[in-house]
Amino acid sequence: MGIGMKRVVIIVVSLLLFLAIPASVFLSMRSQELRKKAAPATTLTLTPASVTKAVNEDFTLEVRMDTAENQIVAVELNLTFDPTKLQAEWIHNGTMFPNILSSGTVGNGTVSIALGATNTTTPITGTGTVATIKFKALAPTSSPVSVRFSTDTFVGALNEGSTNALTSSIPSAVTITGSGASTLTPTPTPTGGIATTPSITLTPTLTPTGGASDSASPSGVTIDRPAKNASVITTQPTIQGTAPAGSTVTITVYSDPITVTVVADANGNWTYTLAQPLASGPHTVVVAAQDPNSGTSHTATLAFVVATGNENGASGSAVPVSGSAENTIILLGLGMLFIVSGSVIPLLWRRQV
Amino acid sequence: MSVFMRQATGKTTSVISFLALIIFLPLFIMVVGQTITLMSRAAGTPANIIVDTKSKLEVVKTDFYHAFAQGGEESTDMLASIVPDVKALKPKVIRLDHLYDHYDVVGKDANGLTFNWSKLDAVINTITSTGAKPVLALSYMPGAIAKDGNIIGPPNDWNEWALVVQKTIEHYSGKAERNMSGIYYEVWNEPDLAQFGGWKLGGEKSYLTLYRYAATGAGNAKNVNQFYLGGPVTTGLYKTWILGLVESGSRLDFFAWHSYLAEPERFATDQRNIIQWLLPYPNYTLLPKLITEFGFTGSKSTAYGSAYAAAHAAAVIRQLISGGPTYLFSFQLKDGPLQSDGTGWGLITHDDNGLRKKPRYHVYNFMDTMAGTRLLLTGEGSWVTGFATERDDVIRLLLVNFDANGSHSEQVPVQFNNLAPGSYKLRQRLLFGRDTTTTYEVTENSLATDIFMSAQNIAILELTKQQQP
Repeated sequence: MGIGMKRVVIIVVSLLLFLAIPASVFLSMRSQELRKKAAPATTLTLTPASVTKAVNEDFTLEVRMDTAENQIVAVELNLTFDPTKLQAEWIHNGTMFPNILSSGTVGNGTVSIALGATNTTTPITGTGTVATIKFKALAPTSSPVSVRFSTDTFVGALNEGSTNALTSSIPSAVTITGSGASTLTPTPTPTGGIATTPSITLTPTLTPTGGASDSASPSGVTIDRPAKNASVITTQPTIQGTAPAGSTVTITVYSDPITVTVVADANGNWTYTLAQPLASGPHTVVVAAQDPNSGTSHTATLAFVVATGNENGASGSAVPVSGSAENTIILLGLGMLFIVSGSVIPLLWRRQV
Repeated sequence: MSVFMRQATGKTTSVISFLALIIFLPLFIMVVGQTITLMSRAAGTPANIIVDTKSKLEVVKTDFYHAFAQGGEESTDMLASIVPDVKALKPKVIRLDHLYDHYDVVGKDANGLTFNWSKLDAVINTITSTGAKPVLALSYMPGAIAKDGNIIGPPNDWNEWALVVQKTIEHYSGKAERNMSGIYYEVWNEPDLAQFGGWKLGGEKSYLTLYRYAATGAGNAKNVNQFYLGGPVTTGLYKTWILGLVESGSRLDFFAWHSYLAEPERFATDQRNIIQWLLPYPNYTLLPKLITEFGFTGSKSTAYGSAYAAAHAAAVIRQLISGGPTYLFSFQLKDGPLQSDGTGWGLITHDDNGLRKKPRYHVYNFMDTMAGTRLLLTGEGSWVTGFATERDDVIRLLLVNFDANGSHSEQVPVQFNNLAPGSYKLRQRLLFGRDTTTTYEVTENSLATDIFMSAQNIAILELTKQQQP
């Protein structure tokens, strides 16, 4: 083969390579687009998106999932947070995932759980609550701290193979104010002539009697609805329960106190539907009543979450799962270009010399 | 001393120093090790149990630990003499191995393989008479087809192995034969152990080949009820074996492995690990998982006859009460012969040792008391763990004090929160000890008490609100 022929071959090969690079980039991007169409974005969101609590206060965050068009069989949630500011107390599955694959674990700055569908013939689709996490605020923050999904959070979906179906996740921002709210001490505004200042305390008052006792205390107040730590999808939930028949029941909803009074009926039942909307997020209800016969005061407390999907202010934190191949392909292309240049140019140079 | 010092040469001194170092260094290391062990044990966290009686979680499953395995220390119907005692354990499944080397199932004549199920059927009948379904470990290689007569190695012809598996499934799951449904068939038993062949994931003695031909046999089975084929039944949970089986492409209906681990927490770690490994394989993530043998050591030990084994079993069940396996098989139901020294794995001693029930026997039904809806519990410690449930307006708290290393005892504070005011009876039942009831008057929403947990003990506290007069 003559020198001229070799030069022609080199030029042809180089041209083919230069054509192949953009062609590869184009085909890869098409492939990526097709995959994205096949695997719509499954997202995880922590709700409420922002929480403000005082030191020592408890609150709950919900992990909500939108599967998009994916058919989810399992999810491993791994979340991280600043352990000097927050302490996770527990994590548990939500209604969307009935099958606990491995129990929840709480570590120093981490919390995790693995959940699944009942079986692969009934994969999970739609939106719902994956899990609920309870936190305690430990120390004041100068700026909001985030509770976020770590990058090894994984969502497995049918027909997705080993690809993580999770494409993005949204953290929650937690602001912790100074101490002083470690106990709830509501000051209701009674309107029905009841004079009581209910205080909530966990200090037990026990009287072991060593045997059966007939000195049972009178029945107190209960909050039967919503359920403790339940998520309600309305901003004006109905609160109901029981109290001594005919007693005036003072209902206080925190954290912006809303105080109302109702009267328990002859059966001791009372109910109230909030007239003004509550903000999305956790709330606490404190109910106080005084037995009209004995004069004894009773209190009950309950936490619930208004989950209306208000994610304003949340900073999206994409978990690089399905990912983008563009940058990698461009870098590969540049690399190939340099390799070809490094091989061909010296060869041509030597020939000329 | 001074005389010695004067007379000793430098060389002698060096030799003596070297010898002293050789002798004392191991002692020094041992002492340091013991000290560290003691310090780390002392540094454990005591429990401070708090039960939120209003935070209800999932319904607790109690079936999964009513699973038992029987080893093949005798080639007889070992369970025949303890049927009533086994029945009392309310077993859901009982696992049997040594199918082909103990019960003369497979023969060979001029026309090919022959099958005689009479001996094995008798053993299976004993299992079903206890109320349990059999779980069959397809092991070991029938002598009639084994290469060089080695029953822990490959067959002369893999198709004969496939046929053995096919015939076994057709016999027990076949609608025209024993007509059992939902039978689990494990491929082999502890293939990674040298004693059972030392199979690998490749090479001439590949477990994947053994499994693949078993799956072929299972696929050829005709007119059968639903059954499950699984593996790898290794001595522990090994990622390479689990994923090797997944990626082999063979039919796989469940995962099975054995766990002999002294630390109960390791069982929960295993559950987390296998789920994590399987997440990238969505079609396999939710398959049943069976721990077909478990204990605190795979070696024989007198501790299997003590409260240690009972506390270990309870502590493991606690770890798996949420997010646990489909079945957790206690190994084993009955000791082998000649184990009057008390080292056998059995829940019940052998016929030659009085058929006595050991402490671990009593754990399973005791824990059934805990059936109900799980309640939120916090404050478990390094030694004392537990869980709480609610059923029929009775709140129950199980506590187990298991110390893998010694005899730790503890006074455990217990608090029940979110109670309605009123009069409550609190019954404290220890599996090995007292049974007392105390009445408490709860005027706020909480009840606090404490309980002394002696070493390796299990307690259930039952809290019942008294009716208003």
